[in-house]
Amino acid sequence: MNDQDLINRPLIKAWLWWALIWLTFFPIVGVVVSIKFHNPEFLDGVSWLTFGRLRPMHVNGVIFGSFSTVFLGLLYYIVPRLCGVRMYKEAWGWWLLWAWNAFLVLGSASFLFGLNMGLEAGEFEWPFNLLRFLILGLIAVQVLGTVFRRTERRFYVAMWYTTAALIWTIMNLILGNVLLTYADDIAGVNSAAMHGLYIHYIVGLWITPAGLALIYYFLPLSARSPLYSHKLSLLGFWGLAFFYPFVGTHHYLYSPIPHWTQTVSIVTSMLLIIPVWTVVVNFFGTMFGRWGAVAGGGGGDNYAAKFLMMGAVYYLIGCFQGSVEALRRVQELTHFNDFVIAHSHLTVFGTFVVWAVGSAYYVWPRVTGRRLWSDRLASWHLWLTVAGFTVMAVGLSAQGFVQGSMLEFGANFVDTVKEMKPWWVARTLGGVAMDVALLLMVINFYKTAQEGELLAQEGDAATRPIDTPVQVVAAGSWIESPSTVLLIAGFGFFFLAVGVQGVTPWLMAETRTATVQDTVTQMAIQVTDYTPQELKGRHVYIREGCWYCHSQYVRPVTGESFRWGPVSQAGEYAHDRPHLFSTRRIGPDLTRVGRKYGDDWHAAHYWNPREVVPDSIMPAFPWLYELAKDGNTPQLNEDGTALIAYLQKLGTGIGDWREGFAATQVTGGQVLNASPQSQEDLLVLGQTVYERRCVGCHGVNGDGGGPAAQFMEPRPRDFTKGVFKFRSTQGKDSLPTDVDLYSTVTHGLWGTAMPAWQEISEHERRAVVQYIKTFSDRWVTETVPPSITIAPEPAVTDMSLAQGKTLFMANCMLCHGAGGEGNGPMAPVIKDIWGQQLKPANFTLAAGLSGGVKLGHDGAHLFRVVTTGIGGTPMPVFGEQLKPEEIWDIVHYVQSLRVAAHEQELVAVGLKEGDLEQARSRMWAALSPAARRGDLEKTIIQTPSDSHRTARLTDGNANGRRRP
Amino acid sequence: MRERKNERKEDLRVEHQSKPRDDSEAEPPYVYRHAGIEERDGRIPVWLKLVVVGLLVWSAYYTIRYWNAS
Repeated sequence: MNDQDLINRPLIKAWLWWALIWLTFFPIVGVVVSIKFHNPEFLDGVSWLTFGRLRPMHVNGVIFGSFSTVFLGLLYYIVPRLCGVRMYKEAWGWWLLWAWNAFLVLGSASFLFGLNMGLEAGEFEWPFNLLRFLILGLIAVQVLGTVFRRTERRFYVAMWYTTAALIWTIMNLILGNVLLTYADDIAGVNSAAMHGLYIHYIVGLWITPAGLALIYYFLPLSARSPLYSHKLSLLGFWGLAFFYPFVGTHHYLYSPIPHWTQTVSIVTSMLLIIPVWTVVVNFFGTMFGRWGAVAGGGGGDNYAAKFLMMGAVYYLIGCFQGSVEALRRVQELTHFNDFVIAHSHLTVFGTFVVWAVGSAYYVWPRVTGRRLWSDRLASWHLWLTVAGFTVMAVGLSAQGFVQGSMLEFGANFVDTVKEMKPWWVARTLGGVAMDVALLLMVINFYKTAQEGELLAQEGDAATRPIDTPVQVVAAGSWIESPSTVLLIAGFGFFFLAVGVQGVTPWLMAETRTATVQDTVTQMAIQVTDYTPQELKGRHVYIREGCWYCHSQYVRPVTGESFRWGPVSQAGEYAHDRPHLFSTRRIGPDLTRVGRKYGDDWHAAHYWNPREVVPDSIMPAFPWLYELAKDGNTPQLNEDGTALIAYLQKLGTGIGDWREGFAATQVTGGQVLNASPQSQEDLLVLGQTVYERRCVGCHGVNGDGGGPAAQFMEPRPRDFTKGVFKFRSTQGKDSLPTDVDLYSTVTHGLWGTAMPAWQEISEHERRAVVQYIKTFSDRWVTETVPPSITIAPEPAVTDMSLAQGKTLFMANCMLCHGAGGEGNGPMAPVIKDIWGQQLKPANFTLAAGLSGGVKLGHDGAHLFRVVTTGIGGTPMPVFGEQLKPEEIWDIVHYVQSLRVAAHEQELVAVGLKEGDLEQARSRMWAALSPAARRGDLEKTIIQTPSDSHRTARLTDGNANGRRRP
Repeated sequence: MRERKNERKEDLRVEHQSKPRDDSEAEPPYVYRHAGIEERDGRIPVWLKLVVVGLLVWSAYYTIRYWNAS
């Protein structure tokens, strides 16, 4: 049979025509996405054009559209020639082409409509997954049907990779699209562990072997040189087949996934150096003696070889990068940032798309029967790709280190994002160059098909230039037979890896429990499931692609536990299906965002993120609001409200951790009251900080009238009056010290839109304090009174609590209510000097809940507030009426309200009866230095009898049985 | 002038190809008849074998050392 009779040229040409469309379209989507990084207003406010919906279109499109369409089309060229028979059921190829295009078109469109499964690289909904599965399954039948009917005795390395890629991917699609999606038992850390495998199988067990099949086939032909080493082929294939299936967990290092599986993934990632270097040596060896001819030559074949070798260089760099970034120390710095994006582009585009392009350059003249139309255009294609891609890959790698280093040294997260913007402009320009290059290729191919010089002779045999004797040896050994590849590499290693890295962790009880350690009592408690509203919010979170930019696990490295909160525990994710760990932090981690901001802050943030955070690159989400009428403040719709409910739940399963969050506990001294000169020096920086962090709420003039203020309740502080609520200074509405303002800025005000700014540097906080003081003349005309002295805290005793209750009823109950829940008879009518309705604090609420205390239940803070009153409100200066020991009694009583409520919260989530006394002791120790040093009367923490318990719970006091 | 340069390059290439780099290249390559691809049995360079051994030794150490979080 003539070689040309083996293939169906119209069929291959049709696949390649469509491949050309997808080769250009999906990378262009990437450029649109890239522009949004440095110009977030670009196409903003339109739901289907947001980053969260375009991103999966770009990533899946490049993998399955740009690359895979070329690969699948070229299978109809490669497989028959390597098997010596026509493709099995060749006519299916036409149907499969149209089905594949339907999958790409409809699947991509579904992302724009917000259909998303919430699994990276597994975002398609089931109809598209089913379609893709059937197409690849039928192509696998065609390939295997051809392989097992072949006349070629030896099974070439390109066929090993082709066979394995199809088998691996079919099984991987079952793993990702069926098990991960529909198995109820695979949740939380197990969902993440298995998804880590799935996501890397898409790269490592689909496009990698598919790409290697292409270069192994087309490089010897286009370079007109024998493949350098069959031995290297064997080492490379079996190395990849054995090591690659284990590596996926390296996406989630430092997460609560069992440590040993992370170690296995790191080791196998590094061992991937073996097959990568092996195949690259094979390619360079093949090119030996042919560099000059290829580099200086024109025509489709030489450009094919140029692209293939260019891809080989990127493969070497990208894979080495991938291996070393799996190392723990490297990953501390580079994970979640653009270093990973550099790696994914170096491999997916720089290597595999470039290999697909090189292969197309070889095949296109042969299926059109015409010589390549223009070497000049091909040359422009090549060098624009080199130039654009170098800018992109080098830039992304470098900025990954820059951002990682900034974060490691404690920079504010948004500052690091701002630092990236010029780099992202370079990335866009690089991407534009790459897309223009691909368009030139399309033009060249179109002109080739239309006007290219007719080829006198076709076929690969004619391209064999080396006039060396050839041998026809026996078929290869068993290790390279189709059955071995199919059974051992295809099925065996896949199941082995999934068993070790996916199933074994799942069998470990600690990965399937909702039990976590409460951060305050160190006792075991249970994480509660999501409410229907929170689940709806989670769906919105997935639909809008929030998880592409926000991770959800706090690592024990690079200061993350000081930046965001306590390190993640496995049990926290028990109800997460799918997991939303994420692999990227374009925005901050959201694991502990619950109760960090008030609902009003979120409402303002979704409406226009830059009104709240001027440097933010987050999209606006106006479709989460009811249409505003008559200029009123837009109101969140059901989706928006649900999204906030979901976010406020995040990170709260480990107890009331925010009360004792070390990063916001500031005990600054008078040293902050700097000299007038140093205060002046700080003003310039202070203005910058104010304009970047505060102006959205407090306004340019400091009057509390910033653009986001319309959403805020309570309204942002009006600095022009020079009245502040929380002060340590004596006298009604006295000016606060710098330390007071610094503490408020650092700690934030719980339950309101005022966040904790512990993430910005001390210098910036000191500076903005000085700037805030410029808004009011009080700082010029008045003197800041001295801070009160906090009297030594007496022991926490029954007597103290009893007296505290008496004093509370006499002085506080009218506003705060008998149970301290902020519902006293006066509560509905009291207002502050700014004319706003006041909500007296509910002392029983956990940190960060709306309506609770703003600065904590810490004894020293409560003593200060009771003593100095709250500025601008009816809260009196009790220091003028009560003795210090009486104030401490009130403080102890207020703390007992919180301890009692806290106890009920923990009992509701599974705290054991036998642990109650110790839990109470630790709760008291968290709030009271006296309790911490042992001055806590034992009867206070002892479990009361049932009748006492009933009485206590009824009146909301933990120690009611001992009160007079 | 340019043509002469190219001829010289071609001569050098032919000269280079005529000298096998090792014994494996002295053997004729295997030819896949229909694809037209030729393939040498080839060899694995010594330095690459050392890389393989080194990585395997390191991986054994790392696995044992970092199996547990402690």
